[in-house]
Amino acid sequence: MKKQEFKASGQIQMIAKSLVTVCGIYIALIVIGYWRIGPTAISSQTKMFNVFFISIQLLVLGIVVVFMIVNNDWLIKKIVLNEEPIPAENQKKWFVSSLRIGLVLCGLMLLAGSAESLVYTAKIIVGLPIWGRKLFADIFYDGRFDWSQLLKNSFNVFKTALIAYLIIGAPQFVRWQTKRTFTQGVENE
Amino acid sequence: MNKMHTLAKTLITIAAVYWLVLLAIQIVIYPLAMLSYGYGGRGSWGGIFVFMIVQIVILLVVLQVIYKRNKIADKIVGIEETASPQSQVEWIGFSYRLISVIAGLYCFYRAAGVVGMLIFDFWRHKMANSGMAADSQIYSHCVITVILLTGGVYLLCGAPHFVRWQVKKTKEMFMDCGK
Repeated sequence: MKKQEFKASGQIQMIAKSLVTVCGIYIALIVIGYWRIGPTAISSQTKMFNVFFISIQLLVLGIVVVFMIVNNDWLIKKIVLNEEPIPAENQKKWFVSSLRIGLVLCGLMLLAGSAESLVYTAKIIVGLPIWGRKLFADIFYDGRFDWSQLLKNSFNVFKTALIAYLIIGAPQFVRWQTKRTFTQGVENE
Repeated sequence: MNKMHTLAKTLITIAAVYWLVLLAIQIVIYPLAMLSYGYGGRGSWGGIFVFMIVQIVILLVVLQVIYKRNKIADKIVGIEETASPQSQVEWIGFSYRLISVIAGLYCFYRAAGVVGMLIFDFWRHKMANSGMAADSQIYSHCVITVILLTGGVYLLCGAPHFVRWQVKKTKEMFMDCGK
């Protein structure tokens, strides 16, 4: 006999589902943040150790993305098992609004927590021609490439772009997640 | 069990699960990160040991919170029966204002930390006259403080323009997703 698959359909379940997704995104960003630490020692003698470290990070990131963002119904089942279902249209509205609000909060918290990234990104953009010239000279005349600086700068630019995207409500992500959640539900039925 | 009780229980569980995952990640990744930096000395191992003990104690506290979530939710909500929200649309503006105030408070908390660093920078600069690098750091910390204080004040006031814009966009998204 096939076991009936759990599907979030109540009001609190919808809020819980979107909040778990937001938590997953926040945790994934924290794990990605450790990448700045890992590759700095690539040129040292501990290369193997770094490969192991990055593999662990990727594994953790994969687990968080799969079990907290992509497929989080198992967790919702543990948090709120029994709840009266609400009409499908309202389910969608609760999910969209709570996910969007959660993502905006996530963006604002990230902004407050890493205002340094904003300053660094502004510095990078202003000093891009000088930095580019230095990079060109380093590669062609000295034959070396400053990976750690490039990684640091890229991470700061990425973080700032992500903060801006989250603060505007991550519209594409919310649409994609809503479409995925509710299409999946229809397919399962 | 009323709606507010369920909501409180859900929020407590989500917050606890969030801390649990973060702690678990920290316990695995932080020592590895320390070692990849090349901190492998005797003192570092002692530090890692103390770190692990503290993390495990916090982990146990969080596990207790998950285990006793019903009691905690009871204490938060009390016995009063609260009416369930009639429509989520009425809640959107309120929720955005609420998160703005929370983020504003966090901005002030962060600004307090940065001001501390700024004072330390000034003191160090005065004592050691550390030159261009210290000037740049002071400048960066000043800019960060201004950003955090300005943003914090705006968010604490409820960020009216931002909230109105977000409510409008969320309603538009309802229509988009309803199609």
